[in-house]
Amino acid sequence: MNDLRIELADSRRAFKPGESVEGRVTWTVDRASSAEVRLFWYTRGKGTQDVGIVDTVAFPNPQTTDQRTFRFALPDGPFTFSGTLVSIIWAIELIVEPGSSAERREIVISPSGREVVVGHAST
Amino acid sequence: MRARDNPFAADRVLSIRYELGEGQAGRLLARLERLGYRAAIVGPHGAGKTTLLEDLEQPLARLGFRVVHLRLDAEHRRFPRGRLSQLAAGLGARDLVCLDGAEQLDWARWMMFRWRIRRAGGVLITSHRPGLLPTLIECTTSPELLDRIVSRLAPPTDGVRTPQELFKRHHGNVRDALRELYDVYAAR
Repeated sequence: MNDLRIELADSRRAFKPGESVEGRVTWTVDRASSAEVRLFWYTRGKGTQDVGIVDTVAFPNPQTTDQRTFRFALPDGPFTFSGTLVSIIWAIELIVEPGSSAERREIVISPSGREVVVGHAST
Repeated sequence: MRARDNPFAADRVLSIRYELGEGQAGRLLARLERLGYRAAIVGPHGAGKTTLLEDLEQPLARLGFRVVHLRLDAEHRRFPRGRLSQLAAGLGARDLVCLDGAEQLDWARWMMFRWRIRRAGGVLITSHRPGLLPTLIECTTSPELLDRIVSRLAPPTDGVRTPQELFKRHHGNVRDALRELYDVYAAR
């Protein structure tokens, strides 16, 4: 039974561009050959899905039960966004191999700390 | 509605895999073997050919094939220059070339493609028309299939029905029908 968790410092979920996000990941897995945490954005909507991995922290010598800390400097953009055709979603993901066990935690990056919503999507 | 909430967003639609009956995957692989691992998945637009091709790649890899995936479509009707010769140089008996969209190749380019990949242990293509290779399976759709897919994507409480009209309007193209439903939800 694999158990992966991501805890963000101060339980924050919303950030401004250029801020840092830090936290702790914990996992219990049957085997652990590699472990890393990624900061990335992805699109969801009508068209082909796009993904951009912005930063990765690899944890050396992972154990089957382990915990590590991480820190990412957030970029200036793109902002967390939703229209009717596409949304841009930011997330932090913990991946433990083998088996690609994964845990994902969504965050918001925008100047207001809230998702930018436009058009019909805002109604 | 926000795109991220749309039940017909592309990633959700793509999560619906090709509907195979019990034991059908095994029968398809057995038939593919009988055809010498040279065969075509045939069907009209939006009938699930690409999805089925993708779904067969993993079982083929488990049989020991190294699967090479190539894709052509209306916007990319040719392979990038040098791609085929580069591919051909490294092909062997354990390689199986999957070409999605073989109908994009005219006769001369199709023959060139076959020549280039002749050393591969197999080739599995999708095509709108039969005749390029022996047909492995002909993909078909139905209003009932569309209805089942819609039911899996949209919560029943949303009251979405899949009218025969939607299926007919898109000439059985399930992909286009689902894209129309995306627009319906986007306007909500």
